[in-house]
Amino acid sequence: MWTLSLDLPGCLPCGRPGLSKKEQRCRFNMDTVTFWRYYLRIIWCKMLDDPKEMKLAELAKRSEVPARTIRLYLSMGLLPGPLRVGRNAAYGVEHLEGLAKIRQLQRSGLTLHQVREVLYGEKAAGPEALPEFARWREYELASDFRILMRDDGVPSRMRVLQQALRELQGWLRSNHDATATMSEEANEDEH
Amino acid sequence: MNTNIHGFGVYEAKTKRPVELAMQELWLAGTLLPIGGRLVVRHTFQSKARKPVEVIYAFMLPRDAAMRRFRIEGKDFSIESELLPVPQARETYEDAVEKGHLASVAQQYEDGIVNLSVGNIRPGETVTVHLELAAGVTLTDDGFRFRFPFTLAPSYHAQATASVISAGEGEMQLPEEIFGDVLLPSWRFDPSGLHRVGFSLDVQIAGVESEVSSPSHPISCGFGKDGRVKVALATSSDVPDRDLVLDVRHSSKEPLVFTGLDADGFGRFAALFSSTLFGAGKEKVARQLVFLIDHSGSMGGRPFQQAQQAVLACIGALNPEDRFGIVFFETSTTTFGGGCEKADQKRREAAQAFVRGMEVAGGTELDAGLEAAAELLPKGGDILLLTDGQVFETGAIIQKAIRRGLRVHCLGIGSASSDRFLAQLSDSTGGVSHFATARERVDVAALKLFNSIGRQVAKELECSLSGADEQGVIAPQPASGVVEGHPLLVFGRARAGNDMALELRWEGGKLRLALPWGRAGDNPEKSGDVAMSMGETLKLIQGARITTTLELAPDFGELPETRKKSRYERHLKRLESIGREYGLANPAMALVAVVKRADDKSDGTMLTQIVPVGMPEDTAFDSVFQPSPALCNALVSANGFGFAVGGAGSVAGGRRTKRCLIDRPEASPVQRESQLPAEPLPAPPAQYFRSAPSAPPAPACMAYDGGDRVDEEATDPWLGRLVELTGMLEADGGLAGSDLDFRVAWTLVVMVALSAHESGQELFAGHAERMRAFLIKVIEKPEVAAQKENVERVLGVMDGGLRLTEESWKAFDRLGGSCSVDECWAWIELVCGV
Repeated sequence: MWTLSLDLPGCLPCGRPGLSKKEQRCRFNMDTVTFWRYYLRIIWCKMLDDPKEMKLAELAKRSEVPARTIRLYLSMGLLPGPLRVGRNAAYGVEHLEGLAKIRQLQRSGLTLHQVREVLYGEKAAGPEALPEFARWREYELASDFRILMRDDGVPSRMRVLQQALRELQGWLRSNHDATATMSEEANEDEH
Repeated sequence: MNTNIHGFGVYEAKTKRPVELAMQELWLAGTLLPIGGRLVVRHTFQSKARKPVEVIYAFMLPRDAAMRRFRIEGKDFSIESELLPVPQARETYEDAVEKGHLASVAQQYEDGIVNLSVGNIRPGETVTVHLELAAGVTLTDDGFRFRFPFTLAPSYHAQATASVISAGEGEMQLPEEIFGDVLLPSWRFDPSGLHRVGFSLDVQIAGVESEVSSPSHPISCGFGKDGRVKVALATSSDVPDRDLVLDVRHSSKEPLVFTGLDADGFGRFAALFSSTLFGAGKEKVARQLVFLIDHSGSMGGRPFQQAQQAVLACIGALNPEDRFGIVFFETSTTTFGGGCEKADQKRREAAQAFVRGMEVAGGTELDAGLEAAAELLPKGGDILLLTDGQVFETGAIIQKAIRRGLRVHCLGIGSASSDRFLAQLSDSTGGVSHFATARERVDVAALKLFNSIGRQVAKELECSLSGADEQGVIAPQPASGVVEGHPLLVFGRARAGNDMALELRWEGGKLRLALPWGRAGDNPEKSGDVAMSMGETLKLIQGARITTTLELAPDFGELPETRKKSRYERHLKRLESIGREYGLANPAMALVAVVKRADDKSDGTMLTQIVPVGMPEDTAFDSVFQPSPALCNALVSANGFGFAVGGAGSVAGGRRTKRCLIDRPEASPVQRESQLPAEPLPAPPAQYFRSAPSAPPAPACMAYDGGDRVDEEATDPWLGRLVELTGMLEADGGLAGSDLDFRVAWTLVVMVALSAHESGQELFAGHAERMRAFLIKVIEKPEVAAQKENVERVLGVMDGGLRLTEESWKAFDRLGGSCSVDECWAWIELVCGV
């Protein structure tokens, strides 16, 4: 024999308004099958009554993110798992907020991986973070002369610098003596 | 093997085990005709996860292609798809997935990208999806070229975001407001752990003997009756890092006609007319041509170097009265000064310096490039576009190009260039398009394309049906002119009847072709498990061409928002109507199928996975995907080494080889940029990293060698030299030299070499003509009178045909601009016996 004790006014099967709290506490003695039937109905009512829980289709509609995309985010760990799995899988406000956050970060120019780093950044980082790195181009204008140029410059600036380098390269090639090394000069002196 | 170091793939939530690849194989089968192909692509999915899996495979449609249907098969089921409007198809799919049913939907997005989604594949289950497509081919007078994408190129869009997600893998997303919910795959530098690809195709050219080759894959051919050829991958399988390209050559110059009855009993026909049937192009109109060259990062390495040589060689073929301009584009545009002006000597020299001085950098703002090129042609003209075409939002680019009223001729470059987009761009502007794979010479392809510009063999072309009732129609409408080297293809339908003919009329000519009809269901052929009749095949290929033309969104121009919306809705309705008429999917119609099984249940734990693809073999990984600083840190800390952080268009990234630039945390990564040919760079010397205590460890990433591939330069080393020399032709048609004697001798040497090369006639006819005109004019001058007789004799010998031995070629190569007049004549005497 099971005893079902309910403290939920208005809940099936005994939703009589106007009763005191003590009176609303219902105790039912029932067999196992009946118990589970009522218990599941109560859970179902809770879900229906809880405006903060929703199915995937509703989450997709409210967030304006397609269901397939939400499933991808769930699979990639960008969102926590559903509140409840199984046939009545449900999602909550945190999923709505999570989707809004993901969208906001994507619109700021981040990919999904980068979004994950931002959302769960403390988990992704290794040891102490290094400073942001720069990328450089290296031009070897002569056998003894190399020059570095930032790779992320404004295109117009880069063209100006490259033109200057071409002129320098041309000057270096036309002035062979100027590029001689110490040992070459020494050899020339000997001869 | 998945080498994710800081993996960001799909993991089972509780166990954190990575979900293994759910697509094992992609197999292409079908039939190819000179007018197009009817294809079946078999996708095999098997889930090794412990939970149901949803798999999404993203791919690009080939040129002039549309999806017809798919069949989803498993152990006890085989279900065909149905064609529904997109919202309805998606709702059907989602409802089914929600209930735990196996379901599949194939939806086409912008740029011809398709997402094939298969949901609720059970643990351990194998599901096969056979997707049927109709596709077009690239036509030339001596055959056709078929291209099928086995991978998807990570293309450029100003608002796209891209980053490295783990060592050797990158991801990209597109803005939702433009592209909807399309999902792109991740790209892997090393494709060896990805799904396997293969193919087996029937090539039929109606009783004509043909020759099949492939510049992309090793093939084996079996020759059957009636000129049929069965073409298959020579190895058991291959990797998805490049498109399949098949070349089919045949010698027939007669019109080819295909007729048949479709399932409704309606007659369908297609007729192919070689451009030689319209006569030779006689008019030589002065050209107004702008060279528009892509120098974005994805073009780095040999493709760009050859593109540079090609442009100079094309300028070498211009006559002095032709006008030309040059525009380079990447994220910004660079225009050769002076606009579109005559090809005089001063301008040619300046153009040489300009072109040689350009380098690769940045993204692919093709629209800006077209805009800049259009500004140079206010009175109309032609644009020759050299690009890998790796851009998104192509519809907008095409609409703007149409609005500008210029002919755009496109050469697509690379193993995954956007053939579909470039074909649409050229078709809709009245131009022609070719493409060159990563293993072919860009300069040769560019010269071929250049030679066909402005050479119309038929103008004011009209096509009509005689002997047909009012239901007879030709669709899509063919172009109003025929270009030399490019055949005319006409599709149509009519109630089958006797004495029906296709009539062509053009300025100065006409042609009549009888249409023979067969019976309904005549000669159905089985290919790839799909029985097909010729009539149905013709209907599908025709429908795919019409669909591809119509799917471009309308040009809204300056319309107010409300009118834009109503025009767009009308456009979608039209697409729905066309989709239903031909039974083909398009951006408004999708394919969906649901398999309901008694024990289906949904528990909300389905894992969704996108099938990764291989990075196109000739696209530098680091020209597209850059690691975030945090990932760099994680990679370094995890393994003591980093990623090859290269600048856009790095020569080092131009080809995949067994080396990697090592990044150390203490040193800023440096990318060496050079104008030298793409040689594999050695690892930087130890002293490069002065603070490194020991030698860098061997790289675990990017250690993939594509294996032996035929190098065109190795098999024909002289062609590059010839292309280079033709780029040096002066305004008067001769090569430069210190005096007229030398100019005559040296020009004659190169002219002999051009005529002796097997591609000489095809590629260098224009150059040879200019050089001949120069020689004939110059030998009348008194200072070179002594050479006149010899020159005339050599020109006569050349007309009879010449071939050079290997030794002669080597001797030619040793000559150069600094050789003497005597050396030139000695070589000519050796080769011509004069």
